[in-house]
Amino acid sequence: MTDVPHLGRPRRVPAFLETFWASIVVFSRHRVSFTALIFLILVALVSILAPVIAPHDPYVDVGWRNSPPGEDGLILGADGDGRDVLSRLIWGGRISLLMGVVPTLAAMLASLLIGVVAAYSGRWADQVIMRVLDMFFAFPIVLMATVVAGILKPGLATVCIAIFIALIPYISRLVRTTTLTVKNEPYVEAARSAGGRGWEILSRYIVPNVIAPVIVYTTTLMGFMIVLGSALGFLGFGVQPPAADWGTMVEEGRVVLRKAPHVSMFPGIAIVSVALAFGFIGDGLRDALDPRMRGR
Amino acid sequence: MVRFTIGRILLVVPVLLGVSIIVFMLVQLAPGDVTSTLLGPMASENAKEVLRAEMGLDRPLPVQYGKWLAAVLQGDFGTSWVHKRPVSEIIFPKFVNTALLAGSAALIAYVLGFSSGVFTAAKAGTLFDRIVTALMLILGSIPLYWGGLVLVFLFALTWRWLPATGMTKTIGGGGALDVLTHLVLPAVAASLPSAALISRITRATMIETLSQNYIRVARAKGIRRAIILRKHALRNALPPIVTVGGMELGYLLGGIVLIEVVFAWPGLGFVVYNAIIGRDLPTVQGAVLILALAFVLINLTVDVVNAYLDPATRAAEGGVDR
Repeated sequence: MTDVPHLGRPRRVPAFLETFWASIVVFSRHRVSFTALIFLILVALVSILAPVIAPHDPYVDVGWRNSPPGEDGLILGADGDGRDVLSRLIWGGRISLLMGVVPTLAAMLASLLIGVVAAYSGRWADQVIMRVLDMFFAFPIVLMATVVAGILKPGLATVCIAIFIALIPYISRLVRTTTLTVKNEPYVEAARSAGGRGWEILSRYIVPNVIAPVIVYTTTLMGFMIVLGSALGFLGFGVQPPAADWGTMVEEGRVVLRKAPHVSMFPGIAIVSVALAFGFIGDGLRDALDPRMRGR
Repeated sequence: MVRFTIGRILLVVPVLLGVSIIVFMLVQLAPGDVTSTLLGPMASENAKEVLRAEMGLDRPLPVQYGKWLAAVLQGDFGTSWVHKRPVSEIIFPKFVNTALLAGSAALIAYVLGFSSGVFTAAKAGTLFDRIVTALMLILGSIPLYWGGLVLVFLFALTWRWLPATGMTKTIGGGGALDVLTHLVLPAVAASLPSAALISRITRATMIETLSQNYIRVARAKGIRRAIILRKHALRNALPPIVTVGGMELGYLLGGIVLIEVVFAWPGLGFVVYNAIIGRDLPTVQGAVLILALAFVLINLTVDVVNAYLDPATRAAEGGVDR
C-alpha cells in the first residue's frame, strides 16, 4: 500500500456537489422538516404501491354501508357505498399528490422561463409580460382555478391545467424580482467584464442563484396546491367516479356526514397533514439553500 | 399623497380592461358548441346556424368581445341561458349576500388573527405561545370546504346549535337574527385560514418590532409593558399586517366560492358554481367579472390605506413595480 501524499482538499468533487451536500447536511439538522420529509416519502411510497398495499379493491363494496372504523375488519371503516375507506384513501393519495406536485413543478419551469426572460430582456418585453401578469393577479387564485377547471371538461388533466395556469403569475413574479436582483450582483458584472457571453452568464451565474428561492416557494406552494386541487375535486371538477382523490372523498362523505362522519374526516386529515408537511419542508429548504444559514 | 392615490386609480383602468379580456376568453375555453348546448343535441344544423348568427357568434372574436364589453359597460351582462332572465338581475342581489359573508369572515379573521398574533408575540417562547402558534399552523393548512364540514358536523348535526345550510329558515325566516344564526358557521369557516395567516404575520412582525432599540429604550425608561406594546410596538408593526390583511380579504373572496357551496349560501360564489354546473356561460362571465372587480377594488383600497399608514410606500410614488 503506497502512502498517498495529502495535498489539501482533492478537487475531484465538482463545486455544485459540495454545495448540494452542504444543503443536505443543513436540512437534516432541521428536525421538523426532516420528519416531514420522511413522512411525505412514506405517503408517496404507500400511494405508489397502492395496488400492493391497499387491503381491498377501492371500487367494490366490502363491508356494511357507513360501517364505523374498526368494524368489519376495516381499519378506517366503510363509506356510503360500503367501500373500504382506507383503500380509497391509499388510491386517492396517488391522484392528490399528483395534482399537487406535477402542475406546480410545470408552473415552476414555465415561470422560470417567463420571469428570467422578462427580467433579462429589458424594458419592452418586461413591460408586456408584467402587464399581462397584472391582469391575472386581478383574480383570486382559488376563483381562477375554479373557473378554468369548471369550464373545461372535468378530469385529472383539467385540474392540473387549472392549477398550472393559476400559479404561473405568482411564481413568475418571484423569478423576475430575484433575477433583477441577481443581475446587478458584482459577480455577474465580473463575469461580463471577463468576456462571458449572454447565454453563459445566464446559465452559469444567474439561473443557479435564482433557483434557490424559487424552489423554496414552489415547495410551499405544493402543499397549498394539494389543498386547492382537492377543493376542485370536492366541487366535482376532478377525476370522475368511481375514482376519487381526497377532495372527492370528502364530498362523498358529505352526504353521509351525520351517520358516518369518518368518511369525510379521514381524507380531510390526510390533506391537512400532507399540506403541513410540504410547509415544513419548505421552511427547512429555505434555511438549507440559503448559504448564510450554513455552518450554524 | 393625492398624486399617489390618483396614479394608483389610473393604473387600475388597464388592469380592468385586461380582466374583461380574460373573463371573455375563459368562456371560450368551454368545450363543445354553444348552440348545441342551447338547442339540445337534436337541433338541425340550420337552426344552429340561425341562432349562431342571431347571437353574433359567426363574427370574429375581437368583434364579439367589443360588443360584449360595450354592453357590460352599460350594465347589460346578457341573458342567462338557464333562467332566461338578464344576468344582472341574477347576480346583483347575490352580491350583497357575498359581501355580507366575506365582510363578516374578514372581521372574524382580523380580530382572531390580530389578537392571537399580538398575544403570542408578547408571550413569545411560552407554552401558551407554542400551543397557539401550532394551532394556527394547522388551521392554515385546513381546506376551507373541509373546515366547513367539520363545523357543520359539530355545531349543526351533533350539538344542533346552529343551522347547517342556507341564509334564512325556509318557513317564517328572514329576520336579522335568523340571518345572523345562519351566518355564523360559514363566516367562521371562511375566516380560519386567513386568521391563521394574519396571526402568523402579526406575531412575526411584532416580535421583530419588540426587539428594536427604541423599544429597549422605552423599557429602560420604565414605561409599562402594556403601553409599550400598544403605543410603541403596535403602531410600527401595523403596515405589513395591513398589507397581508388586505390581500387576505381578496383571498377570502376566492375561497368564498367553496364556502358558499358547502353552506348553500346564496351568494355570487354559489351562482358561479351553479352556472358552471348548468353550463350557463353568460352568468359565469358576469359573476366572475363582478368578483374580479371587487378583488381589484379591494387591492386598490389596501394600497392607498397602506400608503397613508407607511411613509416608505408613500415615498415610492406610483408604486408600479412592487
